[in-house]
Amino acid sequence: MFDTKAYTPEQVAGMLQLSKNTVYDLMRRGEIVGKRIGKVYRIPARSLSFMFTGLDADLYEAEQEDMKQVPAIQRELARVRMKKAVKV
Amino acid sequence: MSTLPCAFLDSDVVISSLLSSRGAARVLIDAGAVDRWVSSSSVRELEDVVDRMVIERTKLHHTLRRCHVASLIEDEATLVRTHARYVSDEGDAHVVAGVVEAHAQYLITYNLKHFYRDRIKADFDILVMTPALFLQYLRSVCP
Repeated sequence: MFDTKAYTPEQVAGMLQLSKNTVYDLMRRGEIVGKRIGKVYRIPARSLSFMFTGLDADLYEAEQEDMKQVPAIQRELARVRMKKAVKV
Repeated sequence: MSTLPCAFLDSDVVISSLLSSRGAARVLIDAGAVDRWVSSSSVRELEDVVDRMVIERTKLHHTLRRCHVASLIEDEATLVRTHARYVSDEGDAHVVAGVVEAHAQYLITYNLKHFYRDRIKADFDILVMTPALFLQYLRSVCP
């Protein structure tokens, strides 16, 4: 999801409703990670993970990792809780 | 008294941490700056779930050593009666009882839809969230 797309600072400024200068400032401070290619900058979508998901990219990926197992876990948990409810 | 954020872990989070070393639940178990809690009732159901999922109990108990255990002395029927209004499924009532008993500020679960979050927040000032969102929150308050 995050590996293929990249945006210009102008595009990111539009998405975040910031000025272009603020985006360049955020890149200088490392809050948005961009890459200089020749004379232009490109910002990988991964750097903007928080905007899309509410999570930094590493936490988003960690959550997705858990989500592979969560449905099976919740099925078993529901069975155990139902068994307990029957006893009550 | 500890000033660390105090988080009660629902059983789905504890089991997730046993199944994946790279998941958010595991990151939360390994995080230093959090007081983690489960309840005596959770421990019993966790043992049942690991048996059903063929996970070694030693793995569970190793993880539980990183958590405090809140003792629920009421029987299940009482827990359901006193906490059923906070959950859509009565089987989850003991989780809310555990959070309250632990004096936790956060209930961490992957089962958000079974908890009436607004009511829990209003009555107990407890926030219900997923592990990753909680970790994100910790980053925002302790960058």
